[in-house]
Amino acid sequence: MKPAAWFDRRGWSDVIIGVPYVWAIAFVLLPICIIAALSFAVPVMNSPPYEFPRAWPHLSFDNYHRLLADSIYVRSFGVSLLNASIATVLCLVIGYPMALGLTRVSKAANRLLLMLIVLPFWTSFLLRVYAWIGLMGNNSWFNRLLTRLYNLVVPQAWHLGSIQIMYTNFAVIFVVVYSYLPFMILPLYANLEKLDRTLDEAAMDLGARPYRVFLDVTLPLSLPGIIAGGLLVFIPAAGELVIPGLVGNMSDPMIGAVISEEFGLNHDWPMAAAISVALLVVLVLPLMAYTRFQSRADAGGRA
Amino acid sequence: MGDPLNPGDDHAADRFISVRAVSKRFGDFTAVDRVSLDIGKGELFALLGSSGCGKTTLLRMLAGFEQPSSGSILIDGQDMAGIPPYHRPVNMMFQSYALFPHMSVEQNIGYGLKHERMARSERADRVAAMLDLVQLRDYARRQPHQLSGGQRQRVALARALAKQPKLLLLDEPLGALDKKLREQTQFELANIQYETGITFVVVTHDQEEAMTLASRIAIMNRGTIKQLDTPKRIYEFPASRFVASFIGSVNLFAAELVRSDGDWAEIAVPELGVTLRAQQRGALPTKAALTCAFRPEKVRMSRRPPDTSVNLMPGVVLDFGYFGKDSLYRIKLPSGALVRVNATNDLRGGDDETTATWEDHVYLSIDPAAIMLFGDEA
Repeated sequence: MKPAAWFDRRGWSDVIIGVPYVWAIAFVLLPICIIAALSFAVPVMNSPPYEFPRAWPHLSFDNYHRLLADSIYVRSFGVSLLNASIATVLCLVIGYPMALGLTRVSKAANRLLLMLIVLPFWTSFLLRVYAWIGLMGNNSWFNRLLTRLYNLVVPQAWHLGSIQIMYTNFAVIFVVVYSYLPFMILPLYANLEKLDRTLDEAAMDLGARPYRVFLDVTLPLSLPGIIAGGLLVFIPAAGELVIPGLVGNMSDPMIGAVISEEFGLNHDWPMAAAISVALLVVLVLPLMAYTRFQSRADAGGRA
Repeated sequence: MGDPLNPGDDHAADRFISVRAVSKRFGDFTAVDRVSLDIGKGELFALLGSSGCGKTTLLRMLAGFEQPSSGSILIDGQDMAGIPPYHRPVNMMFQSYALFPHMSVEQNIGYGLKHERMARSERADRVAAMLDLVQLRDYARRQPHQLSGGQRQRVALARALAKQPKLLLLDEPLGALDKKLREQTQFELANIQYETGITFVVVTHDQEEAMTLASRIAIMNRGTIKQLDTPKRIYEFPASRFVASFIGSVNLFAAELVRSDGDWAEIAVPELGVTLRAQQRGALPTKAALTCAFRPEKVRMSRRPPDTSVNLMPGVVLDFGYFGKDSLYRIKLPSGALVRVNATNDLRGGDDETTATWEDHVYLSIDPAAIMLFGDEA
């Protein structure tokens, strides 16, 4: 109890716990409230470009009506959630073996591999996306190489001049997986590394072949890591603006681009706010499910 | 019950588990060095040694988690070389118990049965029988974290026994239990071993645990077996100075052989400043330096001169520790040497003849049969 004594002194703990609360209220909760309020306003040609209805209840639900009525919004929600889901599953499929591998290599190799996973963060995210654009473009050496390989294996009738990768949904998912993979690997690794390896031995001792050990012991016990990594990929991927803007199909936008367009191009702040609120609800629901799962797991894990 | 590979072998039962010249090297380090031993069917065998002596490595080789660098291990006549843990007729109770935290008690116990072709009802019956065996019937649906240490230990035991292995390995089975619980569990474990008839191999660093549990003990040090015998023989007739000092406490002094007539030896102990008479067992290296050893409880102490004059030494009580049922005295001899003496406090309130206090003058005498002699050890 001794080292925490200064923290336990009256006042100190209140201040220290209070700072993040004040921060969260001022810079997270308050803006969300403003956005939520804005979503019930109507757009006007003025500055600021919105006003609340004069008549009671001074709230307009038109934006939410449009959100459900106009297929472009529903469709871009669908595209966003689908892309994010595919990217999350791909990150899991690629990241799980990597995270598991990290726990099974020597200490020196582990340190090196962990550094390699974090290394891309040393380079600007935009630069890395532009690098991919350079590789995927129809006239790049990479695309020409892929095209030649493709033409080698398919019949003459299907031959292509180049493979269209840029401005497709595939390119979006590909770059999202590339960018977010570390966010899947790191929480998974942290979870897998904590697992007691004697449990594997115990399962094997009781007759489980290695793949059964994985299915019966490793996989269920790494569920918290899978969920944490999954959310860290899914939530930002669903709201992703930059990647689809640079490599995506403009005629079938993701929801981030739609919000940006409403705010900037259309000057329709209330509509943009309504979409943001809807996105928040869609993304926060799984998060709440997760925290519930987590607190239940914590209560269960207490010895 | 014959050995299928050696039908003519009469002693197959005594060699149910056969470890033959097994070595295990990790790089330059030799953890187990050419160990050979046979364990009989239904025996409760203990591997005893301090940490790093190779006992756990030997256990892990029996379980199949490690492969011997050389030598072979046979279980019920079958060579275990290259057989993975999940195909061995061996189960292990882990030191940390290694219960699956996401499974209930009955799922833990039934886990091994899932990998056998066994009807669901039969499996449930077996799990119920195991729960009865370890008296945890009311805890079947609990999760491991809802159990006490002693209960977890019993779940681990039940899980390891559920597959009815030919050999059960127990790694420090009582290590995590408190003293009261250990004593009780010790006897439970021995009873369960007797009831099931399964061969148990216990690995422990706790000599008390090994002595009370096992029918035979192998003392290990630096990867080799120093002595393999019954607990009583290991305590009373240790084969070497190392074993004598490892098991129980002992007074050790350098000695020289003065005279020997085959049955009795006379030895000079310069440190004590006396010549002692000792019963001789086997040949002694003449002229060579000897170690004479005697256990503190084998020394008789009295405040009046005793009748005997054999191995009699006067001394002064330097200090003593009172443990209730007995006391440990440190007696200073005129030569300056210290001798540890254990005296039982068998009379209530203490008796003037046997109990002593600081500065008391006392007489020590040792039965010649109680003195152990060891030649110099390599």
